[in-house]
Amino acid sequence: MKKTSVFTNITFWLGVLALVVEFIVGYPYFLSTDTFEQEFGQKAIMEGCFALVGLLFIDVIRGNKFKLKPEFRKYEFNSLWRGTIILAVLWGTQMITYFLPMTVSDPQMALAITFASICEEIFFRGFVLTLFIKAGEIDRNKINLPFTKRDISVIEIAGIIISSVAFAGIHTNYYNQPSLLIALFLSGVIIGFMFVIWEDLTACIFGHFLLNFIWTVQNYGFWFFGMVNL
Amino acid sequence: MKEIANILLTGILVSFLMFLMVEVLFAHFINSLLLDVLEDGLLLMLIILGLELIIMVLSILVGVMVAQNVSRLSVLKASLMSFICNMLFIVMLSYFSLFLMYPEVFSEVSGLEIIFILPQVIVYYSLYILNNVLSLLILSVISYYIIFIVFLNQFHEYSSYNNRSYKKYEGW
Repeated sequence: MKKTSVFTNITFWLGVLALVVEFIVGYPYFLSTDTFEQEFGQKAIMEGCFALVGLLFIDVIRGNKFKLKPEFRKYEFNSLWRGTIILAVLWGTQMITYFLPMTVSDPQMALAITFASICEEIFFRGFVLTLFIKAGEIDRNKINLPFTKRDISVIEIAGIIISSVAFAGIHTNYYNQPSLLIALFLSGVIIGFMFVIWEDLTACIFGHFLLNFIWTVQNYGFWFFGMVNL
Repeated sequence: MKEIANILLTGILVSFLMFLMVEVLFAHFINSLLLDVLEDGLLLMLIILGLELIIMVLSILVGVMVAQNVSRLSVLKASLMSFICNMLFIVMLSYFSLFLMYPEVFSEVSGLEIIFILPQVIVYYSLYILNNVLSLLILSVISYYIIFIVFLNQFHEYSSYNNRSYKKYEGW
């Protein structure tokens, strides 16, 4: 595994902003006495913690020294096109399986859902999957991934599956609908494979963010999410 | 050409993405500190101009982040020039559009007062001519990046020439 940071300067600052937004949105609800609101607050703060863990430790896992502001890798313009491919593939998967229904009732929820994508990518692809990719370096029996130059070990495949199961698992609101959980799991597997092939977190964030953003706008409508409460 | 398209698209996308997050913080700031203090008209002006300023600053920052292949000095020069030109463009556009479509706005204003009503002109332009604040912000970002690309190409070419590597420079 290359020892350069997994973050570009864009990814890093997007992660920091998403973390701040999730905490700001989640904190008032976290203290609420209403069960539904409290659950929402807990989820938003959990997403914020995902981003925090990822931002702090991904580069340490990759074998770099701990730095609060890592030496960023150069932003590749291909990330944009890769992000578009991820968006298209995720969209296609949702069409084959199910479009995930969204019950967005207020702007805070729209906010949390939209920016959760950044936190989730940093944690599940950046942090969890990187752990397995690092562990997979010791495995010498690797299989060539068709249509790519990348060889993949069984440990990495296990990592993709485990991170996807965890990714589907945190969406507790879909627990009573297994078909939706399968759709989420498949999405996780797709993004996981793309992350392993490209090692491009920026592309994963772009693709996932755009998907969540489009869904939120479709379900909730667009105004500036923070400004609605004024 | 590919690089130009990439800077344009990535810059616009990431600026907008960051803007969506920063406006949340801005909204919290207004909500907790200014909402009950200021009157509605002033608050509206503060919101629109604040959002415009936020998206301009973010465009500059993202532009610097995205254009990594060009020397930092050229990028900073291009950012500064495009910021100034873009603000002039927006101001001119607002004044001309209001002059053409709502001349009565200027009927009670004379002399230098026409300059002092600049914030109101931008607010009126976004609300009554563009019908949506979002349109003003999108227009600002897109025009900023178009101007930025033009300046970046100029400064990059100029610095390449100064470094005696002009012959190798084949544009983007």
